[in-house]
Amino acid sequence: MTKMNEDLESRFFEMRALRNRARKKRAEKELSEAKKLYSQAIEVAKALKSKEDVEKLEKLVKIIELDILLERLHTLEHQLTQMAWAE
Amino acid sequence: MEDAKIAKLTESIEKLETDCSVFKENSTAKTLNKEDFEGKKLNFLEEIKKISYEIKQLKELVSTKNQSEQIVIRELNSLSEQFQTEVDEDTGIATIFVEASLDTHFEIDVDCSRYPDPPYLFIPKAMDDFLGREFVPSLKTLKNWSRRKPPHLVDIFKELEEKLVTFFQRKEESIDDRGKMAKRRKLIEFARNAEEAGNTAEAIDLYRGVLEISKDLKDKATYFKFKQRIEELETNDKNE
Repeated sequence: MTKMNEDLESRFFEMRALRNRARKKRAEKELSEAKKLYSQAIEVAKALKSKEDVEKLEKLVKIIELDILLERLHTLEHQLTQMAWAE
Repeated sequence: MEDAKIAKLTESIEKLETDCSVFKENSTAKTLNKEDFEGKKLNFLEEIKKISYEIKQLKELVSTKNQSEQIVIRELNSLSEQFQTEVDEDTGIATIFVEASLDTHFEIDVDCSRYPDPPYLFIPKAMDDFLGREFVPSLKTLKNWSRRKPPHLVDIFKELEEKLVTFFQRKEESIDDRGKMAKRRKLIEFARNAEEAGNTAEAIDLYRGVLEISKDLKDKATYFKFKQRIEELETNDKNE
């Protein structure tokens, strides 16, 4: 295997590993951490000029951003429903 | 377009958070009458519902799977039918739990987001330690992978499971052998001690145990060696 191929292979591995770690963080509901890892994976995918991976990863970041927004709304809703009028 | 929508939704939520915070302060300061309090609370809850709905709609739109992603999902689902898995449809990655033996199992992450390209398997270190790094790449399904006519993902794991089961069965057999050999060593030690103490009958009995184990292990040399020793002891015993 040439040096260039090895570098490419190791960058691909880095991207896959980041994506896999991000997936696990997302499953553990650590959304901000997952977003951070996916964003790092996007940078690697861009360096690899893998348009398909960049698109897929960007899509995932958007989904997580929306999940984060839903979580914020859920917190607000919870706070409001806990509030009761007191004289 | 989606980015702009997300930015707009984020802005709406920030405003809602600020307004709710003011509402909370006013409520604590008791500057609101009951009617105002209930009315505002209801308005906020309705606003939350409305924004949530918009977010879910947008999420559905963003999550729409293209044809190749749908193929990946189908593959992952058929994997789930035969193995214990945790599938992440959004990424095309799944964790597969493969049973190698009753007390050995492995969790393997498989990235098949590029299917029909060959999947990438994250092999746990423990598995590498047991089987070596070349074990997985040597699987026929992976080695003979054809992008034009790709095998199903489930075929890789069937082959992997079969090989793992065979390997660990053999390993357990050898572990079992090791246990028998240890037991035999102990019996020989006790038999020699009995001989030294002059307890010939006990020594013979113990050596018979050695013969049994040697027979089990198909170890002819040891079997005949101790059979001969028993005969010697029996002859000596008769002569005395």
